[in-house]
Amino acid sequence: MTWFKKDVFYPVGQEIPFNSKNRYTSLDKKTIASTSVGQWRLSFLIFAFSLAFFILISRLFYLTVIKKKPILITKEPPAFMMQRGNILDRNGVILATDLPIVDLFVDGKFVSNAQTETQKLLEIFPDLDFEKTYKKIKSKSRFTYLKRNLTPTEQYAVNHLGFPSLNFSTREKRIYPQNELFSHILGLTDVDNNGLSGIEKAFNRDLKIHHKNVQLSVDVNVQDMVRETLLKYIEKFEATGGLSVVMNVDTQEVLALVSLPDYNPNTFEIPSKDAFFNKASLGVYEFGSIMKVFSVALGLKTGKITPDDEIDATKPFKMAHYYISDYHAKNRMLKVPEVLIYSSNIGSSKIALMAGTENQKEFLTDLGFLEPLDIELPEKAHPMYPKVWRDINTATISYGYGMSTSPLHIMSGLSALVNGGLYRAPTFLLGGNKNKPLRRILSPKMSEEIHYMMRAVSDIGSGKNANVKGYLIGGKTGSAEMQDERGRYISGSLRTSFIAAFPMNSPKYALMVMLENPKKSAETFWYNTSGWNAVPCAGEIIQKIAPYLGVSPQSELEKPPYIEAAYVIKEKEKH
Amino acid sequence: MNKLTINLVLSFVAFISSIGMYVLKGEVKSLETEHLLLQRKIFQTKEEIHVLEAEKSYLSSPERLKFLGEKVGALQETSVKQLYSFSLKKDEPFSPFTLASFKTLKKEDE
Repeated sequence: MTWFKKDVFYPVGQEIPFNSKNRYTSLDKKTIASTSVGQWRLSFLIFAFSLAFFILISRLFYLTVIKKKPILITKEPPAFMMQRGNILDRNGVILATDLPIVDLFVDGKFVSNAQTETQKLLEIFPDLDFEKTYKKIKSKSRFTYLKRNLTPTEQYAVNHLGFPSLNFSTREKRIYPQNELFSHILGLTDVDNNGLSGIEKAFNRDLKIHHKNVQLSVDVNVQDMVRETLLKYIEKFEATGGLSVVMNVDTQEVLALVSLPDYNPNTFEIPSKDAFFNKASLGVYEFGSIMKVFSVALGLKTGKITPDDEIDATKPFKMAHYYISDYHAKNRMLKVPEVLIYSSNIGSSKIALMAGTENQKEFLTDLGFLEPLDIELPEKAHPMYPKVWRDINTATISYGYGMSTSPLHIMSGLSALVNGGLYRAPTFLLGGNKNKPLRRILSPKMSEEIHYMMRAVSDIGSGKNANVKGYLIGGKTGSAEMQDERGRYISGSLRTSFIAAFPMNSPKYALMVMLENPKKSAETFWYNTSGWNAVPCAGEIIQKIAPYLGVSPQSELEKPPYIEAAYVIKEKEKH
Repeated sequence: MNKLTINLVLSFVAFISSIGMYVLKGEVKSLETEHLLLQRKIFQTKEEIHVLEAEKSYLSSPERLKFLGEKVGALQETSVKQLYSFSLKKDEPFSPFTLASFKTLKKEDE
């Protein structure tokens, strides 16, 4: 490097001459200026870097000392969503939901003392087997389940042990908070959370893929009252099973459906075949005398009878090698309402024969009795009826033999008879029937005539044990022999049923109770027909659910002449 | 304004901008973290609500409420005798609560 002034060169090391008058004699102005800029730039850079470091240190101090931040979370949590949506009752009560469940597993790599760890675990889980648990902990496997479905308290206790080998894995489990109460409606899911039966299966797509909630028409309180009462009567009469259905007759919404025995879907035990079977929607049965109310409706619809008419029930009659007779034979002319009040097989058969086989078949088809119901549940019954429908079939079907349908079929038919004559298949969804068309099967006048007749059955006929004063219950009893798997009648067995509607001045709800094989007892005067078991059971159910459903007490109906006449005859016969 | 001044101003602007950007980035990161933390908290709260709803459904099951009602409140099922409808005719045998009886009860209370 050299310093220079004009043409004078000063080699490095040579002293530059100093002139006091002119300080810059040895360096020209340009050189001096550039030196000064360099110094300034250097100072600026030092300042800038110092400032930058000061800012960084200040920031570091702020972040680490003043505002201690947690470790940065870089992974965004998923939107909260359980694998399956909830199933709710009509009031929004949860009937089925997914809950996070914790399982305990052992990582063999970190086990320090298998003996101690096993002993400590057994203090928390006394139900664990020492030998098995010890063997699992001692194995060097990196993942062995020790206990499934831990409660939060158990998880806390295991954490508190502080063993690094004990870890948790989480998963989702389908939970049914009401336990067995809705087992047949809700159904089950498998280990992969796929619906296996019931609503879980029917709405698997909505629940699992779209994560939607499904709101049912059932009411948890009505269901509980129905189940509790039915269970009581099954135990009382030592019946092998039973069912009950409550339905809104205007909307055809099912409010309760109980089929007993049932099962608890929360347990891992596989339910028995009988407990798993939904009798109300999948079972098909001969219902006996219950069918007579449909036969009378058929007679009214075809115009072959009016409520004032009389039917000859003076003696049994023979058809195709069979004698058709009455259980409570009056051996006289019966008024049409009396055919129901005294449950006359003869009267019912004669009405059906008057209406004709084709009309009967058409009427039962209109009522939906001859095909599977259009319901949401996958467990749908296929009715059984004669392939060749002869007159004898017409006669026996009129009083409930020779055709098998499900209780839900009967309930939807009954709703149509009492709601003014409009048929629509039942639904398990809240408002699920809004878009389904209604089909007229009976005129409102005929429906009203049925009201009076059913009310008379419950007042002075076989259904009087269900007569809760004030609720104007109308009904029809039915008792039929049970069949084995091959369809043969089991001697001495009986399936007793009762269908009812209330309040009969303007029916809002329909109910069905069925008991399988109820036993006779001294209390029932050694009878086991419907009037002694299913009927009082229905009465008690109505007594419980009517106030809850907002059914207020009603005064007795004004009896039309044809009903009044039946009452008068009954009174005369008493004396 | 000479060249030096312009350079100085530009350098200053660049410097301030870089500091500003740094602070802004820090703030954004801080807000993002806060957002994630809040999301996690929302997730946890929703999960807790979900579990509590299931618990509520179990605890308010009719069977349990009935048991508590009978045990604690000595409650009984409603009977038709406790109900009255204005559409009822006078002196229905099943209902002691006719309008007349209400009036009598009221007088007795007075």
